[in-house]
Amino acid sequence: MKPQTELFKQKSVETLHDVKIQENLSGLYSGFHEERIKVSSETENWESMREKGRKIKAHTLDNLDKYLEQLEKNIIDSGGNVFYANSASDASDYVTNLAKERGVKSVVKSKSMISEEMSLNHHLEIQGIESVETDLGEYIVQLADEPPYHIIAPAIHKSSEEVSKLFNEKLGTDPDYGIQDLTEVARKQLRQKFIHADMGITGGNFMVADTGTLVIVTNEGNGRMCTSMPRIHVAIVGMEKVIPSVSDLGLFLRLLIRSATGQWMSSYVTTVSGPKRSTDIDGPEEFHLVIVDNGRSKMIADPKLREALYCLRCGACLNACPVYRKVGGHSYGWVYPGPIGSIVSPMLTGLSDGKDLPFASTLCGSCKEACPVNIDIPRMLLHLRNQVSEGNTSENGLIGSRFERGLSSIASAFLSSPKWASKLISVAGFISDKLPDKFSVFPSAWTRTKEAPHLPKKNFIEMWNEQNNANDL
Amino acid sequence: MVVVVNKANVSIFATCVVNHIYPNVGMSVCNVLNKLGISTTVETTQVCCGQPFFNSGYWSDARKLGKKFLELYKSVEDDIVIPSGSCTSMIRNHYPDLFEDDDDLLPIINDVNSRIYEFTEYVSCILVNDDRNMDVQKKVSGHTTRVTYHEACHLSRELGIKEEPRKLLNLVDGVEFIEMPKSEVCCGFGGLFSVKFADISSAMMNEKIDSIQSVDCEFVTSSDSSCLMNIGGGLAKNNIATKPMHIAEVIDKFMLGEDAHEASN
Repeated sequence: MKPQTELFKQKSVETLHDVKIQENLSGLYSGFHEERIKVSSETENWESMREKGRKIKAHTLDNLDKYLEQLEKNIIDSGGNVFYANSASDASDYVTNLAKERGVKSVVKSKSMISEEMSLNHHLEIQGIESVETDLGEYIVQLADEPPYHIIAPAIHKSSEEVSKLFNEKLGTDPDYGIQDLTEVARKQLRQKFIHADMGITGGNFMVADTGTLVIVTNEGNGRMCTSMPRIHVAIVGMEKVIPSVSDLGLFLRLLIRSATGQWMSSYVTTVSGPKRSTDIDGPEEFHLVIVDNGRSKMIADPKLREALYCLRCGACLNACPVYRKVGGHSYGWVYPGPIGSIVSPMLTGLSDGKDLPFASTLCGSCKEACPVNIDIPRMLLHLRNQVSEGNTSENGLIGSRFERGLSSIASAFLSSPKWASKLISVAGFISDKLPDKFSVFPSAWTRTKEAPHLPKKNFIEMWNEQNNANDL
Repeated sequence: MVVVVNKANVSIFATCVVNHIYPNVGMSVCNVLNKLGISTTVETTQVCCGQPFFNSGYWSDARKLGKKFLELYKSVEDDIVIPSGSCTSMIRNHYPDLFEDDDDLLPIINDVNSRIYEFTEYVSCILVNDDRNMDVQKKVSGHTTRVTYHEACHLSRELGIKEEPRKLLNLVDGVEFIEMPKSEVCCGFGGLFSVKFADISSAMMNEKIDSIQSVDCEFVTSSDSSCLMNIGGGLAKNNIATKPMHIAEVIDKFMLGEDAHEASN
């Protein structure tokens, strides 16, 4: 997916004015967000589970080479293939070449965010290979030719009426169909695709190193169809998805699923350890695991930002985020939206273009509170802001505005003196209403929707001094 | 955090917003503490803690202000009370990050942090730990004022102070505390955010105003004047009768009787 992170401001304002999307987004709080709070508060030891999950993730990243090697060995021992892809395009090339070599004409895909990093559907289509998304939400956004809007709910921005209209246009169905009719249409369409597909492509929620097992969580069963029906199964995963042991899996499944949808457990948890064995009745003849770096090594190398790779991709921080709930997924301009996206997208696609993203947060902390592995997203946003404002990275230099940096120096100099601080506040108050919006460093944009406060004649220190001097007399 | 409150005097760090825009909040902080038998002092050369610069990524500017703060308060032996969860969190949670490479300042940060309290955190501890509160006369009034509470983000999620302000409001005789829906959701202020992303900020503020309107209160209160500046600005622009009032002012105005005030003097 081509990054458009530089368009955040423009796209977010467009979304704010889209009444329909605002209505559709308003359900996130009472839906996913409150469901997560309910189920996590009913889970005994939830807080210690979060800490345990966090520790395991930290330990795994510290020993990533060891666990990836163990995983690779176990996959190969069970008859699978492993490919390490340095970049998204390496991963795409591997999959498309494999498909061409094996004479693949049609592909069924289970939901995978990393395949969005790779623009995999596009690359397959160029080769004349049909690639069909089989998660209902992904199927909808694929028909609409849009990227997913949310990590776990790709079509959350569309109402059933809009989906009905879309199906009518693309599939010729009755324009008055409701949710159940639409689901049945999709099911019927997809069933034929599953039956005829040559290759199934999935992501993976976890890769278990000590058993060489890929774990996929779904609610629709489409993941299991993709892994078992076509003759070739390709799983594509980010290198951070490995966990050490199958004994860790129960913990992570609970953390992921309860945080993602508020369910105690998802409808399906599919585990895959290699291709079909000689004694198996069905299953794929070939299994390929593509482990993708695509900038992740760089993130691991940065001690301030590496914990972004603890992410389980549950989407809880999106649902918890009051900014995401207003600006939606597409505003963020790349695969991963919301608070975690504001870290991952600039890190993986460039901070210069994505420089607004770390600032697109009130630092309210809801993301951290919601995160099943307690990722300190606000702290990382602050570090990225520092990189933007002061250009602390050698490769980037100063990314932010020199003008704003100058203003910061001046303002901080004023505020470091009690006397001059008062003068600065008075001047700021005076000009706040006088300047046009484009000088957005001044609070004029503020007063369009809010009354500015009236400045008092005396500040607190003066009032306190007066009262105390009076008391002393 | 375990707090032992037995000091006769506390030092008030007012914060920029209170000092320059809402001085009455600072006066109410003093009044409330006075009425609880604690005298207050103010360092008259106090300046910004550096938070706006830290949050904007200008850490070198933030460090200059942070150093000034630490230089001033390292020799203040009294507990330091701050009427803002956000500024308290800056000192408690972010100074250790901001000065992580400064071996000289880190022990000073630890030391100062052992004496720093957000206002509701401090007052709650007094009311829990100290019998004096039992003698405090509550204002006797036939009228109760409906007050709702906005949970400021940094107080709630950076300091973990969620229940204390609610307990205080429930203790106030003249106040009927009404919980608003989504009280914990950010009001959209976020400092520079409200300027840089004014449209998003306004959309968030409007949602907060909807929550406030749904409970129909005379006052909306909070631990942080910056949130209340944002919320109050929106309420005024929309001609909504609910007024913002800092929690120190609410307690000062409604809870503690004049007799107690005089007694403590």
